[in-house]
Amino acid sequence: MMAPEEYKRMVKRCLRCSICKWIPQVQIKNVNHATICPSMDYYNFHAYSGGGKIILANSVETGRIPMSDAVRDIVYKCTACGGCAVACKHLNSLEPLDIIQALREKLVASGVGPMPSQRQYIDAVKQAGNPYNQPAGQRASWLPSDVKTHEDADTLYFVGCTSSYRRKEIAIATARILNAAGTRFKVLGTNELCCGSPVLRAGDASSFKELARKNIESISALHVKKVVFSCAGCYDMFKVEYPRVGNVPFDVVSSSEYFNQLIDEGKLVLKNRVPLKVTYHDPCHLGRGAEPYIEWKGDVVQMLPMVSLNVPEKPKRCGAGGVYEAPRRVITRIPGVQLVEMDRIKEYSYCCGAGGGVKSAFPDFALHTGKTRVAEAETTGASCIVSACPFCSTNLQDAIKESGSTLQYKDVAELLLDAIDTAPPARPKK
Amino acid sequence: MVLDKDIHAELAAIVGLANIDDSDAMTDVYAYNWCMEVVNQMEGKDPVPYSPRPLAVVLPSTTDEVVGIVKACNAHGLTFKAQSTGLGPWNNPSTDNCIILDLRRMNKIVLIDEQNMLAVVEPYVSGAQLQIELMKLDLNCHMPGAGPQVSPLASATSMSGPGFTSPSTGHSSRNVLGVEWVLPDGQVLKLGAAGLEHEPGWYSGDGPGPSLRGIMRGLHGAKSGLGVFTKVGIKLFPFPCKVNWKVTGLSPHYQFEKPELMKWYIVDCKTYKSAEAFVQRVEEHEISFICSVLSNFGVSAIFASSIESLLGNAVLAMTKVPVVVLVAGRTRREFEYKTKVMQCIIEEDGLENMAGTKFEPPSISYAEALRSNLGLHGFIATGAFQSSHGIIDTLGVCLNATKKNIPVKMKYINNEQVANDFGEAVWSTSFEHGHMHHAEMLTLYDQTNPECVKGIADYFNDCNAMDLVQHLGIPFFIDGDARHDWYGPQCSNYNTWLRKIKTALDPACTADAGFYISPEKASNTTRNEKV
Amino acid sequence: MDNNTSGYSGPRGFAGVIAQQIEPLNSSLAFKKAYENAKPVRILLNATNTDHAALLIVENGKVQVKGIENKPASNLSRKSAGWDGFISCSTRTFLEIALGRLSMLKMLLKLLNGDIKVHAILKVLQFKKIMEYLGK
Repeated sequence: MMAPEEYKRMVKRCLRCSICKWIPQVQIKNVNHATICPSMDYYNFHAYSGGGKIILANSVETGRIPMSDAVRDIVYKCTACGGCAVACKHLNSLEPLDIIQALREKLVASGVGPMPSQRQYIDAVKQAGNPYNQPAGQRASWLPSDVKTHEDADTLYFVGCTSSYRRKEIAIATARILNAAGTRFKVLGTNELCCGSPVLRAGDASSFKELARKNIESISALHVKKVVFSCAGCYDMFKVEYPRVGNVPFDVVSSSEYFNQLIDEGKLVLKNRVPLKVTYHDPCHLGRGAEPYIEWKGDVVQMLPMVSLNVPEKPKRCGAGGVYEAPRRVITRIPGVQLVEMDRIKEYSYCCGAGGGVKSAFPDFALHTGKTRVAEAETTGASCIVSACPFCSTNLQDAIKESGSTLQYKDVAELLLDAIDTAPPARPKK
Repeated sequence: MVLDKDIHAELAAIVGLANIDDSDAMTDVYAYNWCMEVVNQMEGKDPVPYSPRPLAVVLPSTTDEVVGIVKACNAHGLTFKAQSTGLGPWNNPSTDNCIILDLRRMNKIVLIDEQNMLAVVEPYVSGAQLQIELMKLDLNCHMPGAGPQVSPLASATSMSGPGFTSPSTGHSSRNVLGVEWVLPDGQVLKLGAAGLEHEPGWYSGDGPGPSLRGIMRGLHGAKSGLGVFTKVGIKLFPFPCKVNWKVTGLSPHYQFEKPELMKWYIVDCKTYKSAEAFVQRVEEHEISFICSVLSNFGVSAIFASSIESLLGNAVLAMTKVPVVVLVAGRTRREFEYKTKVMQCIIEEDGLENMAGTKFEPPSISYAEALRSNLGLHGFIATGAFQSSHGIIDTLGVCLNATKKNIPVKMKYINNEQVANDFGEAVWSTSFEHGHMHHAEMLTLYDQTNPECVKGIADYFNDCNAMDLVQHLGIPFFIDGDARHDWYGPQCSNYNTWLRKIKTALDPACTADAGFYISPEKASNTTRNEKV
Repeated sequence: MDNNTSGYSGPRGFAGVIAQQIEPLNSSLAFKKAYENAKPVRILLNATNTDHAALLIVENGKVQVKGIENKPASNLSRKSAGWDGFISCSTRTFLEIALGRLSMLKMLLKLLNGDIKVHAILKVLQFKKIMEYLGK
């Protein structure tokens, strides 16, 4: 959805400085945790970097190479984590992630993309309302019978496909916490549709826009004031991408932010000690990816040939507007929990490896990246990784198992539930 | 050209199938580079940012694999070009029968010898990665002006090597110790102490094994024209001060816990003569960690994070000949001594320190200075820049060149082909306690505008001619046959000697000679340069 | 102000650039001291290659920048804009003046060939003087 003129202008401007492969240089604290690009770390060829894909876009745009399977593979071997964009934009002003997204859309429009497995899950979204091709009728099966919902509530909990079908413990934990806080909330249940994140990330922008409009319409019709998200991907869609499609007439709140509010209001009492040393993994779509686009309508003042100023200064999406403190605050408010940070965090966090359609199209790459992240978590001395995304949950847990790590994994909601403990846990204790 | 299937199989057998790619998509990406459009323009070609496409890109992970690839190239009449982080057109092939060796998988810090203050690194260790390990031992490494994300090995062996911290950390060319070198015919040659048969080390580049540093890299590096460097020993230096490396905030507005014993000086010397005297005194007293002559926009840029904040540093933009000095001390006594000396020099020269009075350097500038990240600020204004000249000489010659360059550059500024910096943009640094200085004149341009590319190419040609005629040293980018053969006769026919070296080591010209020189009696390059 | 960028209500275009440079003078004690009892002055800076001129209003030791659209030209008349002095040139020339890169001779030449248009040059030269307080 990048403006075509901006795309054409930017693809010519990569300087091939390779900054996009690393976390911001001043943030490097460990020789093994200096890189930010999972694609480069796995595939190594320069074309896989953010800058490499900008150059690839230029090669296609200038007709030097056609759209091809080779182009497609390079572009889709990427979790679209946005790390390259944060690194590049520390000093420069290119938009590597937006260019990668635009290139995916062009690949889809030309029929060359997306990857076959991604085409399958896009079709599943269209037919079954979820990328897992699970029966729509079973979407609400996660909901325990003892969790209370209220049809007349003005707060909606948007569960998302992954928590509904795969990571039910996250949905269960979130719902139990809302109950414990006495929050009146409702869920869409079997009427809930995919937020469209896997569709958009795969480059099918038109299908995404259709989904987005449907979701905005259906939720608006409920006249809710607030929608709470426990899935980073869904949150990113509603917070960042949906406003680019249409007006979103309700508050979009991440579960972490809402949990903090409930604790502040005294509605949640954290009476159980949870003696755990944890490290928090920033999901890309809750962190750097969740920074909304701010429409800029200032003036461009040409001071000198080739040197223009923006008045006011154009906002630069470097990830500063993401949700970083809320989950950390929840974690550190839990008695007994000690939070230790990894070397790559917040806007320069290292991706879990699952996003951008990679988990389905390139599972080895996804797992390798997850294992890289798990190894980094282990260096903190923590016994548990905590995150706030069901997709990160799946891939990191797969990576923990695959690497034989003794780390536990918990979602922020699960950890918080342990501290509240008014109901059965979200998943059976081992 | 398309890579022959059998050769593909042979190379794949060496590096593994996952580590070779000859697709159009991949090779076209490797054909692209910063300033390639300027090189093309200077050669009378279309000003596109692409060189000839390589036949394939391979990713070796060991010296043995590099040897295998080089030997395969020899056997099949192909050329090769080695690159690590790959910034700049000198990483690109000059012919279309070239194999690129991307040394990304050779990324180990082999050794850090704390006592003897040396490190041995492979090609894809970045400056920042090495520095992080060294900081644990209170040591530091030299990083070139291109930034901490580039390869110290590449700078030491294959490219020039001045850096912001050169007053403290020297020049890459002078920091080279033992070297492991895969020659263009596939032999492995180890230089200096690394060449010992029994108990080799890395501590010296001068012996007992062969001492070939000058032959290996000369002044401005081999630019991949003499083989592949797979390991290098480099000198280390004391870390300049105690630091609690704490960066807070979110990008791009980071803050840094300023080291207690570190201080910026920004002094507007107003004239080049005054700047020369000031810098000479500072360097003779050996008190600087950084000491650079800049221009008004240059000094604004290093303390800015965007074009808006660059022009917003109005006080700095109003300087005439600014010099920035960063002083640091490992002990309070050392720091007090150095700052006292600085103050004396400033007062005696009738100057004023603007830092801390008229302008407060942002806290992150200390981190960027320590991490050698200041050079990347040059891209802020227009998104592209390149330097002309690139003098290594006395400070007087450097600043004389800066002054003389102004009217030359103004012509292109008035034609709106390069950005207007009043012709004054310069970055100088010094090494070996002020004995030697480096200066390059930065030029900002729009790499997507053919008129700008033409202008900057013509301007570079003017600068090269100016350096020759006015004896302003040998600039950065005298490379390739035509320019060496043009420059050489005026400089004791060094081109002849360079060609002898190439002939001795690479008679078949297997190592791409585009940015080096062809061997005698053979010209394997397709570069057709207009000089 | 007709500027619908979220949160920004300052002068537009070139006027915004001038405001960003000049208005920090309001924190300068030296500037306040020099101008608190000085006769108020209004200087119009029109960058001919942009859309918004900047009216500098200096009074009571403070400086304010107001933006004025420079088309139609009647917007910039003395009557409309209320200036005491007026300078009109390109942004490049403004930079050269502000950064002290234009000698008197070059300035005169530019005046003669119309690259710079000035009314009440003594008032206009106050702009250069005001810039000198930056950093004081």
